[in-house]
Amino acid sequence: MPLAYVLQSRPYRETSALLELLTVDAGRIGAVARGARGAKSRLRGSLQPFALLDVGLTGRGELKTLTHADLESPPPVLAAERVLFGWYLNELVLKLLAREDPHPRLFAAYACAIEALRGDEAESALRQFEWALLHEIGLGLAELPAGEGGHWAWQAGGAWRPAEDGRGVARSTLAALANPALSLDAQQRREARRLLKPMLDHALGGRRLASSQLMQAFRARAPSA
Amino acid sequence: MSDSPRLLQLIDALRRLPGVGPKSAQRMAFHLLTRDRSGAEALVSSLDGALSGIGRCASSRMLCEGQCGLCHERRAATGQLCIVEQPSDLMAVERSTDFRGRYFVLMGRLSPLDGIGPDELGFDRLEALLREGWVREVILALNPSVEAEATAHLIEQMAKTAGAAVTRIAQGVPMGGEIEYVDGGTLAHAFLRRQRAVDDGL
Repeated sequence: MPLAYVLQSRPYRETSALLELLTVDAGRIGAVARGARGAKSRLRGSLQPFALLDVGLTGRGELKTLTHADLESPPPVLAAERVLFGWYLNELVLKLLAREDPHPRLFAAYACAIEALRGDEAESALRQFEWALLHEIGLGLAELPAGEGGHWAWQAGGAWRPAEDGRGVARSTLAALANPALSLDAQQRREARRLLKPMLDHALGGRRLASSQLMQAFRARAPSA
Repeated sequence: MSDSPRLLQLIDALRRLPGVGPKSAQRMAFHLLTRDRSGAEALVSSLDGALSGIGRCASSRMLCEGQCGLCHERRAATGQLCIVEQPSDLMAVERSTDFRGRYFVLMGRLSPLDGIGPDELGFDRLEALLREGWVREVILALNPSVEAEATAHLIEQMAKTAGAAVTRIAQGVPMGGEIEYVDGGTLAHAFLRRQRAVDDGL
C-alpha cells in the first residue's frame, strides 16, 4: 500500500474532504475522501496536514477516490511557528510540483524535513528541502562545483561560477544543503537563503506564498518584549 | 406541471440548504405547495424577518438581533473572553458549560493555503477588544487541528501584548470513549498534556 503525506485537506460538500497528497510512487495526487468529515468517520483525526497515511486510491482521472487510509504516523505535535514552516513546505510542493509526477527522492526529503520540524534544526531542514525541491523540478542544481573550497554563485542555466568572498556561497554550505544528515550554522543558513530565495522566486514565476505572508503577520504581532 | 419555472426555481432554492439534494428538495417543494401552504407562508415571513433583522455583532462577530445579548456589562465583569471558530461552537459552549463571560467568533481558523489569514478572522477587531482593558483571561475553545494550533499561537501573542492570560480547553479522550479506538493524534495529545490525577496542592 502506498504511503502518502497530507499536504492539504479542504472541506468538500457536506461531509467529504478534498485532499492533496504527496506519495512515494506517484508524486502529488489530488483525492476525494468521501464521508471523511462525517460524525462517525474514523478518518477525521487522520486527515490533517503533515500526517503520514497508508492509503488506498482508485480512479483514473486527475482526482482519485480515497478507498481507505490508515494513520502510519500522526501529524507531529508542532509549536505554532513550526506549523507555519510546515505550511510553507506544503505550499512549495503544491505550487511547484505538477500532479502525478513521481519524485521518490523528494518524498524522502519531505519526510526528513517534517521530522526535523520538531527539533532544533528546523531552519536547516527548510533550506535543505528547498534545495531538494529545486533539484527535483530541474532548475539545474545537479552538480556541485568541483573542489573543496571557494565561494560560488549560481547563474541561470545551471552553471556555477566562482564568486568573491562574502558574496557567493561557500562550498561547504552547498555540501550541507545537499546532505540532510548535516546541519547549517547561522552564517550558512543566511548564505543558503540568499542563494535559494531568488531561485524559488524564479520558479514561482511571481506567485506569492500565503504562508510567507502569514509569517510576516506573525512577526508583526509578536510582543516586542 | 413538471416544467413549471416557478417550481423548478423553488426546488433549486431549497437545494442551497446543507444536506439537501435534488430528491429531498423536490419532496420539500411538493410538501409546502400541496400539504402545508400556511407553513410555507410562515417560512417566508420568518426567513424575511431573519434576513432583515439579524446582523453581525460588531464586537463579538456573533449573529445578533439589535443589541447583542452576549456583549453586555455583566459578562465583561467576569474578565473572561472565550474565542470560538463558529457560531454553532458558541451555542454549544453556552448550552453545556457554566461559562458566562464574553465571546469572540473567528468564523474559521488560519489556513493560508486556503486564503484564510488574520484579516478574514477579524483579528483587528479582536485586538481592539483586547485593548478595551477588561479582559483578564482569554479562553481558546478551538476545534483541535494543526490550523487551530497556529491560530491559537497568534492569539496568544496578541493577548500577551494586551496583558491577558491565555488558557485552552482541555483535549483528549472523549467521555465514554475507548482508548483502543481513539485516533493516534488525539491519544498523542492526551499523553502530552496529561495532568495530575489527584489535586495534591492542598
